[in-house]
Amino acid sequence: MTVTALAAVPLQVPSRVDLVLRQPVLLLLAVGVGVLMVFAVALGVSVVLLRIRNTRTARRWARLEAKWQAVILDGLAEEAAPAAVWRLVGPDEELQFVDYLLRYARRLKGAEREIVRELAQPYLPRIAARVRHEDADRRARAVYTIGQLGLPRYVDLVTQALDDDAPLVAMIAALALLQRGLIDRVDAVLARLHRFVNWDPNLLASMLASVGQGVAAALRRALGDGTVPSTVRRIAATSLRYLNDVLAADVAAQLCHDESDPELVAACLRVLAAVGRPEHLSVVRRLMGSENFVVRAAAASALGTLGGPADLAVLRQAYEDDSRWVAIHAARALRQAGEIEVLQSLAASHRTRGSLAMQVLTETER
Amino acid sequence: MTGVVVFAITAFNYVVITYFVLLNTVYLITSLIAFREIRRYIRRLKSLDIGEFLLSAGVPPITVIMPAYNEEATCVESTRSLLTLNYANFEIVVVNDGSRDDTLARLTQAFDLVPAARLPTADIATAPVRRVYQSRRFLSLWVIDKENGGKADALNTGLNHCQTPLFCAMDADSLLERDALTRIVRPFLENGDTIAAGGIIRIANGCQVEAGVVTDVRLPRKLLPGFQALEYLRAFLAGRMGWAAFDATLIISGAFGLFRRSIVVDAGGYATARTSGATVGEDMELVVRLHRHARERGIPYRISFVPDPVAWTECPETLTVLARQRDRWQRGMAESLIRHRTMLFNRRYGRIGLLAFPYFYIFETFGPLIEIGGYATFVTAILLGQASMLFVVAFFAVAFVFGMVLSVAAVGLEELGFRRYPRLGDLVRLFGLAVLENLGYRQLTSWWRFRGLVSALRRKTGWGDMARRGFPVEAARSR
Repeated sequence: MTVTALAAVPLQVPSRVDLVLRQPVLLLLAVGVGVLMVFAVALGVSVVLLRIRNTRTARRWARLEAKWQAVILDGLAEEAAPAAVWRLVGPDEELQFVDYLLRYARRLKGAEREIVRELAQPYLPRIAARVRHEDADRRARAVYTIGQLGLPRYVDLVTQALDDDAPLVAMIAALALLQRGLIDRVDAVLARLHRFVNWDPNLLASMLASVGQGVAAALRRALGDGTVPSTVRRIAATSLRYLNDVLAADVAAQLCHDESDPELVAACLRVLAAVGRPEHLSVVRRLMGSENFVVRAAAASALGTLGGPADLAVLRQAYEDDSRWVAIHAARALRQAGEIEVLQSLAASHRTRGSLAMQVLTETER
Repeated sequence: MTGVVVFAITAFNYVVITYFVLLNTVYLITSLIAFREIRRYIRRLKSLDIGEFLLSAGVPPITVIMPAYNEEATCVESTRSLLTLNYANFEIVVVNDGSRDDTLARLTQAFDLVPAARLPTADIATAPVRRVYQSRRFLSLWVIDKENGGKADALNTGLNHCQTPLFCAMDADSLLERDALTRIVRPFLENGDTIAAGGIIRIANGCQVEAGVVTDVRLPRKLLPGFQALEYLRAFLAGRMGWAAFDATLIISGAFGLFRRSIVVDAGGYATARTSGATVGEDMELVVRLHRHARERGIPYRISFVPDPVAWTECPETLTVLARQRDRWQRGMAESLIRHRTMLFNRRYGRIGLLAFPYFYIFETFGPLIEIGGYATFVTAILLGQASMLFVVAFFAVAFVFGMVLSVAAVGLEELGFRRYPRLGDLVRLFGLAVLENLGYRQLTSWWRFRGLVSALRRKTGWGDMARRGFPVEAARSR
């Protein structure tokens, strides 16, 4: 029965309201039923087709992997020449092959990773062309692939990607340059670090530190440069701390004299806690009286590593600080300073914070 | 008189049809947006391996807080599952919320717990803590034994003892996948303004579980859990993914969410009788309050949803328990929205006040009133002979067929992005469930939600018992 016929055959005698309202509206809705039904079936069929396609893709991948795996392993063992591997890659399999190599590249290091990179070389021009693709996601994927397999050959291309409109693409480019340890590109990354300030600062710092000591000079310059955005300087300070860069201590101590940016001061105090020297003690002691609890907490930690018996009273006082975070840092500083007996005494006698000393002592036993 | 009644019924029927059209259109829009977002997310996953980042020193430490109340059947397995999480820097705080069963004894025996000290870092009011324990076998595992105060109170206790910048709130009856923290932390790494992120909850009934890990994913064999599996797909992949794209996430499931500790503490922690007033929907209430807290103070923030970190949970298998659960969910939602009603249509709260709140008020909270009323008047109209064939067809279209389309679309989103049900048979069954759920199950849930709404309006409190069977290890193995 057609919809029009249905419209003509009511189940019951319609009400007056129905007579007024229903015909145009309900007819439309009835047509909607048919459309929805067709849509539901089409959607269902699409999902099944998607499943079939996914299954086929998985099977094809399995076949390709089986074909490539043995010869790539031979290649890694230098028992097969690259040409022997390339012969197994069909013209329509090139992108899959690069994807497959990516998996090895992530897991391998040193000479073996270089072999994987060499195997990818003939296919990278196709990927490199995608770095200028209009779709940001494709550009990101291309920069990632080139970054993993195509450096240093495509270093300029990846450096250009630092200025990509899409922050994600720029971030992937920065990560690639840093992971490859390309010291001469560190300044380029640092100059654009402000683009990534939305990212977790500790993560960025650790990314920079992953380059190694070679990046330290550039980081010290950034840390000491008042024209560099504060967030970037904090990241530089954290990174220098991860690197245990002894030369950063003087720069950090200098910055501790100006408390206008407490978070930067706290980052510098953490640097001092890691690599400071006794001559930096005066600034650390002064900052124990800061109004900002983050600064006081960082100063307590620094005092724990740099201070001596003369600082014991200050640390005990910090243990009583209104901020529990300062107290926690002070307790750990006491442990760091080897004042176990003081902690034991606090654990036994302190009314409200005995559990903190006990907790820190337990941490000592771990 | 009869004419007036007939007019009223007919008019209400049109209201109901309009309601269903609008509701399902919103669902359709969020599904379409979710389609785009999932594709984008999958591409993003391929282009930036977050695991590479997380090997570095910069990984933010996380405290996993797991409240446990009478969870002797599942707590050991859940905790064991947490210990296998693949994340560089995390600790686990299990809060035994005054269980009357052997929860604490089981944990003590399984993990060799000994009394330990741990300084609280916040002062959110909670029921008294009896004792803090630490595992001698796993030093990152802590158990806090406290007097009973409810789930939110237990979470606050964990929050008070949290010493990391991020904490993960979860249920004791949930199993996190090994890479769940690695995946859910991503929004916090990519955007420092992120204050909360939710993961996806999937149904563990029917799956094979070994040593706290779901090793073989299957659709539940029974109808009721099967319906819920489909419902969760629709709610998370289409609903939450779509709303997250609008930056208008109002719900992060209590079973799995990651939060920035400092802002949750500043906002007063979870709502309890000791804090801002008890609610059974503490998870939604917290997210709504975080929105309000951040917007009223001009704090830049983001609340995200991540579709692939998975928490597996055991869903109710009986109508009685399911009814209780849905009643509680509805009460929780209604309480949260009513408590923060000042945000409704309030420009100060941006798209939360102008978009998410009106939607949740009209469709999610008070929708069951219209739905139940609609089903009733629909039947009445037929009995009174006031429903034409066309009207029946129209009602059927918007109330049933449209819903079926949306469920099939949710299955499509699952297939597009995640393919967690590898068996073709499960896929076919999902389609079957998409049809069948419209013939009874949806009406039942509407009824339970209606009752929940009534309870909320009558200010009824309490969770009701949730019978736990434990994870279906043997059942699945024997298949």
